[in-house]
Amino acid sequence: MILSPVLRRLLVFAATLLAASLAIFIVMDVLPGDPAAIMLGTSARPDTLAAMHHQLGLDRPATVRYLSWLGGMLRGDFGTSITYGVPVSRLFADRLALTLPLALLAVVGSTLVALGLGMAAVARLGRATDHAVAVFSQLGIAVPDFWLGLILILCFATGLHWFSAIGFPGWSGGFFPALKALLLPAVALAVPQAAVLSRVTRAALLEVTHQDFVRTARAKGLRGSTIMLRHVLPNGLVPVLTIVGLQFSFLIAGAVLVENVFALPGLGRLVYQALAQRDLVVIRSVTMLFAAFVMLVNLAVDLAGLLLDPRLRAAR
Amino acid sequence: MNVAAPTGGRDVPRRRRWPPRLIAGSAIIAIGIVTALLSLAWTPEPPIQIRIALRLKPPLVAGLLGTDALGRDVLSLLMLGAWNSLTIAFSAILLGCLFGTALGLLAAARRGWLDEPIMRVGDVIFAFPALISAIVIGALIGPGRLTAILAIGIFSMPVFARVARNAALQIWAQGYVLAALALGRSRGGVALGHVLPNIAGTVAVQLSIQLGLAILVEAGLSFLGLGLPPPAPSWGRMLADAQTYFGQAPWLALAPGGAIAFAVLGFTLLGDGLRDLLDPRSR
Repeated sequence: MILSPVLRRLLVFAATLLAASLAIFIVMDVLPGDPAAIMLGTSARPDTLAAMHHQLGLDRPATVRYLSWLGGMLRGDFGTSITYGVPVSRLFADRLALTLPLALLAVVGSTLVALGLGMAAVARLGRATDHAVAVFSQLGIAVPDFWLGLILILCFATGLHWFSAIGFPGWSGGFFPALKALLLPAVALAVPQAAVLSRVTRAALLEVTHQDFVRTARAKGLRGSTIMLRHVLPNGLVPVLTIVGLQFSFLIAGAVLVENVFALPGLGRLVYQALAQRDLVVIRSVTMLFAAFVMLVNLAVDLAGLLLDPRLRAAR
Repeated sequence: MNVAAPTGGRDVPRRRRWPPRLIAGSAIIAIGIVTALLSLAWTPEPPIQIRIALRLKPPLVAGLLGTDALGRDVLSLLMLGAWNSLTIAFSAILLGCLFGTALGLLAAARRGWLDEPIMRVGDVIFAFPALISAIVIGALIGPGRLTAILAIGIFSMPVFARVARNAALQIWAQGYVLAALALGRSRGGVALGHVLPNIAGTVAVQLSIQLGLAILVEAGLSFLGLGLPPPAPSWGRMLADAQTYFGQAPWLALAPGGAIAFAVLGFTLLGDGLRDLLDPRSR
């Protein structure tokens, strides 16, 4: 069977997404343990329990429940939150307005910093710059993002008063105040990511510098910076982007923590509060959304790789 | 193979030394393990003793690192926290390593009909960050040691499976493996007798790195209240408590975070050091 590489990846993406939804459904709806009892607590009266069963549709067979959940999600209907009494899709829309820009800031910021550091390390291989980058990445990987958030609050909010410590003014209050509120959390998220990525970048670029075409470029008398930007970087970019994609699931986890440190009303805080309130409808859908994000980012990275590197298009 | 440009005599073979990162990492982890074991027998103060009269004392005023909001000695809490953190990380990663490596080995040995499904299931699991799995598991069975171990262990499984599979595939292509097969050894026998010993180093590097990640995740879980329930001390929850008393006692946020970073640094250094040892050209 010959499929175009793009179509093949789209099919795998769809199948993985389906498998993930099935996994979530089995863990949360089919495994022993009564969701209604979990939500209401052990002291619930039998008739309230029965009413909850009906409200959650637990009196229907599992296959029907799975298909209706799946069908609902495809139409953009994620169910109704038990605690908030509003459609989960509306909660998503509100919370995404914070989490998406936050994640984007962190991903873009960390990738750019890592590319810069990686290039600097390779250009000054074995010298002070290289060692400094190595130390940064070794330490950055070890520092928990939520602790970094606390330290940043301590320095720049309670110490220097440059930022407000916690909370989010919302985008309606103006673009820049909102962006400013996201800056410290984004830095807290981005530093560990940049640390991981700068190592990967260094290794990937170093590999490329050993290639014959780089030697040829040097022999032609091209300047070091030209060789780096025109020959080395484009060829080393694909492995770096792949790791950006793989790291995304850590970024999601980091966002849950950092949003809680800075009391930001994003998706991470939503799922955390849903856990405290035992709102399984919200937990189920947010989990699905997170998994879909991770897979989507990895698909995008895969497709970007095809776009960037013609050699990958020929393979398979 | 490409020949690197001359780098000025650095390639002259030298007597083999232990990689510095291996030594540094091992030393840090040794300190951590000794502290954790010591905490079971001795801590400067009883770690869960509440002393309201001594609450929120700065470092050196009461104890080496001060006291928390309930007057408990921070150093003693940190020491016992090391035990909890390390045992959860070790159990979780051992679980992930055993099952993951076995699956990766199996996928590489059998290829075809087993390989693809195992790796695809791994991809699905990998889409659920340990923290998110812990929220789901925690919603069902409540927070605690088991929730943390399961969430971290399950998430690390596909990582080990992938690393073991890729390393094993390289070994399967070696001449001596083909020779062993030609001599009539079964594929299972070759997988255990030839492939496993040869990928053990690669898996060990990953084991160390994953242990570091597990410490981070465990801290995150207990920061959110998904780890060990109180009064068992944990580094993550100490940070969560510290945030509550930020204005009055900012120093409370420093020591637990430092402890986490120190432990993670130890494991990542050890992993890098092991890699340097196995493949001296990698750096």
